[in-house]
Amino acid sequence: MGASGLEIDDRLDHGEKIDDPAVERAAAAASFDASAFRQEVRRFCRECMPADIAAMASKNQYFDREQRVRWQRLLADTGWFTAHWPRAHGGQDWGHLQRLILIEELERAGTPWIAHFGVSFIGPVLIEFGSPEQQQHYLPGVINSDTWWAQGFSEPGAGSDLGSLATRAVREAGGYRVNGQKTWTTMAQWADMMFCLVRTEQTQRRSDGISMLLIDLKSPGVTVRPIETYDACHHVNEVFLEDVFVPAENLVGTEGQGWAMARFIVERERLLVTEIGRAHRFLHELHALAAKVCDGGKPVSQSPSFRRRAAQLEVRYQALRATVYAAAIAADEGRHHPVDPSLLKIRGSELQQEILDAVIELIERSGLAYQSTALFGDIDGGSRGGAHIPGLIFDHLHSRLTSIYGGSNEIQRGIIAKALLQV
Amino acid sequence: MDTDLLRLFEDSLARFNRERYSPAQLVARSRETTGTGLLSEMADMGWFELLRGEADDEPAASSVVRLLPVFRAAGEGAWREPLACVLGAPAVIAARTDATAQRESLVEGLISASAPLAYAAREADDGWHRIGITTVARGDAGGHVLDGHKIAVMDVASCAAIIVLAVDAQTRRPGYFLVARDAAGLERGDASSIDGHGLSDLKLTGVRAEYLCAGDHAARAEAWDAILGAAEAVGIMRGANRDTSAYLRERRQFGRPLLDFQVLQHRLVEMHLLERETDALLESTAEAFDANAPGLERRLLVLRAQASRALRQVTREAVQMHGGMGVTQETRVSHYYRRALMLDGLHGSEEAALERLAAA
Repeated sequence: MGASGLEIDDRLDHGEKIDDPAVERAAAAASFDASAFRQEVRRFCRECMPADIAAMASKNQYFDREQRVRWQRLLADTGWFTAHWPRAHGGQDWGHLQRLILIEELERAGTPWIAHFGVSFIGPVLIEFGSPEQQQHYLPGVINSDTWWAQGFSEPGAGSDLGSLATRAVREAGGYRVNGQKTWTTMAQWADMMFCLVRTEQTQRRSDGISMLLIDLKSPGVTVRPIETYDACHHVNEVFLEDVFVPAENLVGTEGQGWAMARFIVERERLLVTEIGRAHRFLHELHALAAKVCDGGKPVSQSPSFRRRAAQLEVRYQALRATVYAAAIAADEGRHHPVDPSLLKIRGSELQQEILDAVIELIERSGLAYQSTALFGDIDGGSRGGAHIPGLIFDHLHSRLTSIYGGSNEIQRGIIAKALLQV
Repeated sequence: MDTDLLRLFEDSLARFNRERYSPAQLVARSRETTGTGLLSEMADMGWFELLRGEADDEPAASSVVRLLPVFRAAGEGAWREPLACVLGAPAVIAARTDATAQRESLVEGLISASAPLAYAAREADDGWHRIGITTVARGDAGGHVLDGHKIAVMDVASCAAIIVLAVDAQTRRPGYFLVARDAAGLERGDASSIDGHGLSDLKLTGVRAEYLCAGDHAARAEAWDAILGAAEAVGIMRGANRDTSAYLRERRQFGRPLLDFQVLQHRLVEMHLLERETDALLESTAEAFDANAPGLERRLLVLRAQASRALRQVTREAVQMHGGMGVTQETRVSHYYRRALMLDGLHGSEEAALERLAAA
C-alpha cells in the first residue's frame, strides 16, 4: 500500500516503454525514437550533472549564474541546447515534440532551469528577423552562454497589457535615444544584454509603433535595481533607461516589427510554459513528504483524504500531459490550435499551484521556517523539516507568479474566449 | 462590552493601524528582526486589560469574545508583534496556574506586556494533534526537571519564559511547566518563520521547571488560540479585500480600470462573501466558547475549516489580482499571503479539520 513517489513514477511511465503509441508514431515520423531519447536524457542527467549541481538539485536550492552557465554549456556540448534551431545556425531542426521531451526530462531531474531569454527567445528571433551581421555577432554568445540575456518587455504601466508600453526610442544620428522603465526583468542583475520592446512611433493601433532594440546593459544611463519579493530572493528587477544611446545596428528587423517578434516568441514557446516535468517533480515530492510527515503520530500518506487529493492531482497531471503532447504533435504537423498556448499556460500554472498548495500543507505542520540564506546553504532541524524544505517553500511562493507572468491567466482566458466564442 | 464601547474600541484600533501600521511602516518593520515591537505601546493603550475577568470572581482569560477586535486589527494591519505570547494560549494557562501568587504575577506580566510567554506544546510527529507527549517531567526536591524535544515554538527570543507541556514521569498525566528562557540545559535552535517571527526547536536536558497547572487545560488553550487565529484571518480578509478593491479601482488595463471587468467584480464579491460568512461564524463560535456551550468541539472544527478555506482563497485571489505587485515586499497583500500560510500551520488546514469532522 501507499502510493509513494516512486510507484507513481512507475505507473506514469509504464515501465521501460514510456511513451504513448501516438507519441512514438510522431517521433518516428520525425526520425527519432521517443523512449530511447527519453532514456538518453535521463542517463545524461544522472551521469553528467556536476556533483555540486546535483546536490543542490536534490535540495531544491537556487542556482547562481555560474552554475546555470556551466550546466547550459554541458547541454550545448551534447548539441541539445540549440537543437530546436535550424541546422544553418548550429541547430538540428528539432520539432516541438523532441524539445518537449528534452525539457520535460530536464525538469523532472531538477536540473537548473534553462534561461530561455537567450536560447529560446532572442536566438530564434535573430534567426528569423535579424540581419546576418547580428546573427554572426550575437548567436555564438547565446550558444555558449557567454552572453546572459534579459527580456525587456513589461513596464510599470504595461504588464499583461503589453500594447500600452511607453518606453520611447527617438531616432538621432547613428542610433536611438531611449528613455523609460522596464520591470519584472528576470535575472537582469546577471545580464549583459537586454532585448527590449520600445515605442519608436505613436500610431493609431498601439501595437504598430513598437520595435525591438538590443541594449547593452553596461551603456551609460542604464540602472538595474532589485525588486524585493516575498520569497526574499533576488530574481526580478526594475531596469531604468535614462537617455541611453543605442546604435542603429541594434534594431532588430525594421521599426514597427516589435509586436510581431513578441508574438513569435510566445507562439514558439507555447509548449514549454506547461512545465510538465516540474509538475511531475513536485508530485513526486508530495508523495515523498506525505510518507514522512506525521499527523497524530501517523504518516499523512495513510490518510484517505490525502490519498484522494493526490489522486485528483494525478488525474489533472495526466490530462495536462496528454494535452501538451497532443499539442506538440499537432504543431509539428502544422495544425496549430489557436486555444492551445493559452490552455497550456492556464492549466500548467494551476496544476503547479495546486500541487505546491498540497506540499505546503504538509510542510506547515512543522512551522514554515524560511530564510533566503537557507536556499543557498544547509539548514536542518525539527521546525525546519530538512534541508530541502526551504526550496519547496520558495517554489510554493514562486508558483503564485506562474499565473501572473507571461500574460496573466485572466488575459489567457480572454484570448480563449475570443478564439473559441468569436466574441 | 456594550455596542458604543465596542465601536470606540474598534475606532481606536483602526486609528492605530492608520497611524502606526501603514503599508510603509509595515515594510520598515518587516526589515527589523522580531523583538517585542510595539507590544508595550499596545499595553499602554490598555488593550491587554481585556484579559482580566469582568467580575471580581471571574478568572483572567475567561472571555475570548472580548479579544476578537484586537486580533481582527492585528490581521488587517499585518502586525508583526508576538501578540499570541501575550493574549494567546499562554494567557489561558497563566490564568489557570494553581499557585495564586505565581498566577497573579504571570497574568500581570502579560497585561503589562513586560513578560510575554512562549508556548511549547508541539512535538515532531504531532502535526495538529497532541497525542503522545514525549517530553517528561520528573519531580525532585526543588520542583521539577524536564527532558524532551519541542518544535515550532514561536517568538521565544521575545519572551520572558516558556510554558512547556510535558507528562509526569510517574503518573503519565500531562501538565504545564514554566521554564526560564535562559535555563541551564535548554538548547535552542532558532530560525525565522516565513512571516518573520522567531521559530525555535527546543531541546530540554534536565531543565529546571516550575509546575503551573494540569494539562487538561490544553484543549481549552489551543481552542482559544484557534479562535483568535480565526479573528486574525477575518482581519486579514478585510484588509486584503479593501486593498484589492482599491488596487482594481486605480490600476488601468486596456484603457479602463480593472474594476470595470465584470469577471473581476464577481471574484471580488466572492472574497467579500467569504469574509462576511467567516466573521459571522467566528462571532457565534466565540460566544459558544465563552458560554461553554454543548457541541463545542465540532463547532471549533467547523470554524477552522471555514477560516482556513476562506483565508487561503482570499489571499490567493488578492495576490493574483495585484499581479506582480502582489508578491512584492512593499505590497501588504504579500504579507497577508505569508501570514495566511502561517495561520494554517499554527492552527491546522481546512483538509485536516474536514478529516476530523468527517471522522467524528
